[in-house]
Amino acid sequence: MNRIFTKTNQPILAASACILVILAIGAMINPNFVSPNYLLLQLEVASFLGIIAGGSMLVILLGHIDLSIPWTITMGAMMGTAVAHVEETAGLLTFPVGLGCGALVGLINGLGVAWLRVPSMIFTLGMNAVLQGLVVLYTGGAAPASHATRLMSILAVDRTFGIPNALFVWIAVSGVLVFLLRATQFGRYLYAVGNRERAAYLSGVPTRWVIVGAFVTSGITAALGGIMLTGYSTKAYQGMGDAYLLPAIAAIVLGGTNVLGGSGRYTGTVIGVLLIVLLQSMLSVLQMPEAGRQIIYGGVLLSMLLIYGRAARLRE
Amino acid sequence: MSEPARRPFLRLQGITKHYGGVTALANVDFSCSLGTIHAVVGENGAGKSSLMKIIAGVVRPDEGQIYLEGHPVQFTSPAEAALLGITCIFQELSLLPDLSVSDNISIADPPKRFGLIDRRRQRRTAEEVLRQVGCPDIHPDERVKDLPLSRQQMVEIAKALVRNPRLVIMDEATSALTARDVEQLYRIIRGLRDRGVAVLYISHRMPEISAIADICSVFRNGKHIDTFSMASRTTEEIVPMMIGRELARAYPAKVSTRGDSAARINSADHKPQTGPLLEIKDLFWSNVLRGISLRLAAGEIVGLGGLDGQGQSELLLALFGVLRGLGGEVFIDGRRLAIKHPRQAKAPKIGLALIPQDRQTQGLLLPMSIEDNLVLASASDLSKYGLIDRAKERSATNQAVAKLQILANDLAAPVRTLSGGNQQKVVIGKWLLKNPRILLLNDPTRGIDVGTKQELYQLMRELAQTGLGILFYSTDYEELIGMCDRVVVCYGGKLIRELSGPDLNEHNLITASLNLGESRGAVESESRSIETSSPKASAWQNLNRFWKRNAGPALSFLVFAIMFILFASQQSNGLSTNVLTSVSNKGAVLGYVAIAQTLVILTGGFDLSVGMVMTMASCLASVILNGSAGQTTLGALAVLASGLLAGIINAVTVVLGRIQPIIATLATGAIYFGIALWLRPSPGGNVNEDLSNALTYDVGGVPTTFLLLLATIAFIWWPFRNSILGRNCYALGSSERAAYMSGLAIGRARFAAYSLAGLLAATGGLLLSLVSLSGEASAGQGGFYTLNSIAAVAIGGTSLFGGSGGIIGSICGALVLRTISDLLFVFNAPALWQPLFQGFILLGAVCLGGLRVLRRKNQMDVFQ
Repeated sequence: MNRIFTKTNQPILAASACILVILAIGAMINPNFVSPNYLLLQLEVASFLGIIAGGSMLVILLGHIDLSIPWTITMGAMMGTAVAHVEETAGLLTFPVGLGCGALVGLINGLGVAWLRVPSMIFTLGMNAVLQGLVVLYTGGAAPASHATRLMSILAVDRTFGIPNALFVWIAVSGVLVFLLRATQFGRYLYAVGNRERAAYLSGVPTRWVIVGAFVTSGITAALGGIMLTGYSTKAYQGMGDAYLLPAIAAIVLGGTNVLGGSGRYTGTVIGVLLIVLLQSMLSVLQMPEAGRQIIYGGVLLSMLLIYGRAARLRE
Repeated sequence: MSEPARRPFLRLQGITKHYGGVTALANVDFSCSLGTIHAVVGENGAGKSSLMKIIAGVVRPDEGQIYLEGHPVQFTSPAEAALLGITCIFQELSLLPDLSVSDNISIADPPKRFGLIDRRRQRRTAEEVLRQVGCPDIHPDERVKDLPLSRQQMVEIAKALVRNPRLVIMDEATSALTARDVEQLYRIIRGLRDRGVAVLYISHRMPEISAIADICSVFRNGKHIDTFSMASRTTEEIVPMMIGRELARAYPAKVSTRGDSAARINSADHKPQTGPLLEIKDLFWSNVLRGISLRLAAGEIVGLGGLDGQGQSELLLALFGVLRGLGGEVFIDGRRLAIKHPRQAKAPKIGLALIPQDRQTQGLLLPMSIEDNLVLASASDLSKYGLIDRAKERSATNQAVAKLQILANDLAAPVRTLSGGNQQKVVIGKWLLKNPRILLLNDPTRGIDVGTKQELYQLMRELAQTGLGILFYSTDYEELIGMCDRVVVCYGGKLIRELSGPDLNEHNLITASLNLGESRGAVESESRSIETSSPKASAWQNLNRFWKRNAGPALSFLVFAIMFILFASQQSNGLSTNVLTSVSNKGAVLGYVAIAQTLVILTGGFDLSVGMVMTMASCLASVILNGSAGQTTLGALAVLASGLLAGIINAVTVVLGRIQPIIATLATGAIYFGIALWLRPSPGGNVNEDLSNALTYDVGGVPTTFLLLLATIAFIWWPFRNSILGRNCYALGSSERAAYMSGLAIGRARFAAYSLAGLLAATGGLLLSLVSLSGEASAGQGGFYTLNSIAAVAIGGTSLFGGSGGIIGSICGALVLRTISDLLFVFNAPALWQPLFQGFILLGAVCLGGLRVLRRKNQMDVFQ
């Protein structure tokens, strides 16, 4: 039994308990809240956040943070849709170009953080601003093609056997990430570097490339999230990524991943995403105005952190 | 036991101290008297440092009692011991690197005037005490981190003396000093003795002890052996007392002749060698390694001897590829190699392995499992196409556990749960799985129980017999003699002697390590860093000092000035007041938010809620900042109070809740934004126009908001910066550990920083509402101000790691950021370029700081 209540698992259990509480409260207000239809809808919405948070988790596992997500999402979406409408390629370039953009952003972030040793928060902040500038410049005068392609719609909106395709995409992405984290050398190196980069370095681990790898993954999932969101709302637009940064970080942290790096399970991030989405959902069912939602959102995050996010005292 | 005939000032009775399984001090009785210079000698591990830490209040003894002037005392912290008149000068400096010399010297008890630190008196105190320690060339305003190490050590000594202690402990205080400084130190110590102060002097350097000590105490293996007056014994009599013969440890049989090593290689993995396995020629590095030449043959165990810190660690790191800027040559198997990274060093063709000095921070990942730690170095060998092969790993780890006899119930348990000896076995096991050819051991048996040590000795000999070459650095002389085929002694970064065969005994080893028998001047002046003292108040030096401290803000102000001039030059009406006011107003709003962020960043944290506090304040203002003059005034106060309250909430979560600042302020930011939305669901509101007019225009041609900023700098920032609270914020950001050791109230400082930040962010919000005459709860706006506040701080030259900088730079940074859009507009650059430009400026500013890192010489220092 002790195995289940380990330090890494406690937050996951706490978050799961919270989810159950939210479902219970929601059901009391409106029984439809726990209807399969509604829950599937929640899972669909959660998929987008889940994809974005998944890659970012790798960065946080290193003890870093990726604040360039908002405009990586937007850029991936815009670049993806831009090439989609070039006749000859029949929309096949969407994913390679979009994801490629995300990877490029991640590469630059990784280089800046790993080689120049600029604090990740600042560097990705700067990248975010630069990406915004580039997108603004690009869309500026003309309104380039930014409609979703058929493929995007299929993936984001359609359902197969009644289950949203977006959910399948999330599951696929999760599968890849879990595989990376648990079955590859890279995953082990990731935890090692997040735990103590110096010891990993002295054991001959290529620490800089691990950092680059994590940021590249974060960029790719952000871009993928952007493409999926475009499919969902049928259009790519500026600022579409802004609403996803805080929830992504909150989901990762609520899932028990240590902000300083070195520990955290992917399952936790999944649970964290579900918790956030259900929380937001319940607040809208309660018809709570946006103001109240924000306050409760912050309050819940704070309470969870007070319970299990505290640092050790200096004396220890 | 011969003892001095004075009444002891300090008496220790029955002191015992354990660290894990190792007994550092065993039932020690010790006393020292006022007005004596009392030396404490012994080998490494004799217990000297532990004893001093107990006397200085850094650690508590497990058993025993301390008496001060006959009264029993118990210290809970170094600060408490200092209050009772005991100060200690440790080898690791406790200075705050980013603060000035005078700040550091008076850190515990600065002179005050009207509640603020009196800098002028502080500077005079520093000058006075620096003169006393013979260092008038150190300028009191110089930042400690800009001083060479020997000067820093003198500042540390000055800092101890300024408190007029009654007992001064000097633990290896001369390790970094020049020969001239050491002479000066003797004068100081003798002066202290003559004034009735007790001096406890710990040193390995017998010549120093002979020169100044009145009384000498010898320690060995945690026990107090004897205390006697220096006049009654010679050095030759003292040295054997340090060695002693305890339970003789059993060492495996050595190699009788070196020449056989080639023939003894029978492992299939190793080819017979004709030349040496490893050869080093004239290795130089950064004034620490000064021309080392060495040869290591396969099957040999070569020991690195000498006092601590003579370059032995650095030699091993250099071989392993950690140090940059190496001079000289390294050959492995006769091939010249330049090893740049541990990854290259461990590759099969080269086959180096390093067991690092500090297993907990350099050798192991404590929270990860034993298994994960064991496979870390050989992960790529045990995996296929980057995929983990669990079966292969399991068999490898079982193999390692069996071979090293690691006592562990469950290999999936975190390695932190193992004992010290077993932990070290895991480190060694990790490297053995890589099949190394050359093993570099950096003091591997430090802090390990006797049983495990025996096992390790056996293992080393076995490995040597299979053809490995082992370079073995140990601070334990007995080990070196028992294990090594030959020992080379390091002193001052050079190898001064080689001992082997019958010459390899304790007496020769210690004599060589202490560099006895050499005239002190000859080697000393070479082995110390050469420094010339220059005249103190040269104008160039003053300018240099000013520049180092203020380069950031000066540059950002310059950039702003250029931009502003460009901007003004394009105005058809010239530099009208309207233009000035508009620039100032926009800049001031961001400026206040940037000031808030600066305070938090100084303490080493970040506040991601400042933008939301500002938004909340401006929304509140748009609701209550109207009506009569009295109502408006109350309203303004309420807005500021709300910001202060928000800041206090942040402070409580970070300081009392101990939640990481970035996440904590992210959460509280959401709450403040919610409040803003509640106050102002849709943009609008009403703001007293008279107040707005008063603050958003100008006074005699100077924009009012600019005057407000100046007033803030003069009446809020300047007092804060010169208060103890403000200075503690800088100290906290500079080195939290040193600040804690100095007994500073860091919790209070952090609390103040976050609370004030809230107040200042609200000021920005108040201004915003006055400028725009309305309020709007927009998440985009809040985020914009938060992120740009950090950008302004970065551009302004404040270090993002804390400890240095100020708000002037941040204000300039804010002005720069806000002027960009105006500038682009004026030059008919498309408005679309603005965000891009802004982003590039931010990236450029922070990358400039990063470029400094690329020049670091010890790559390991870069990592946490």
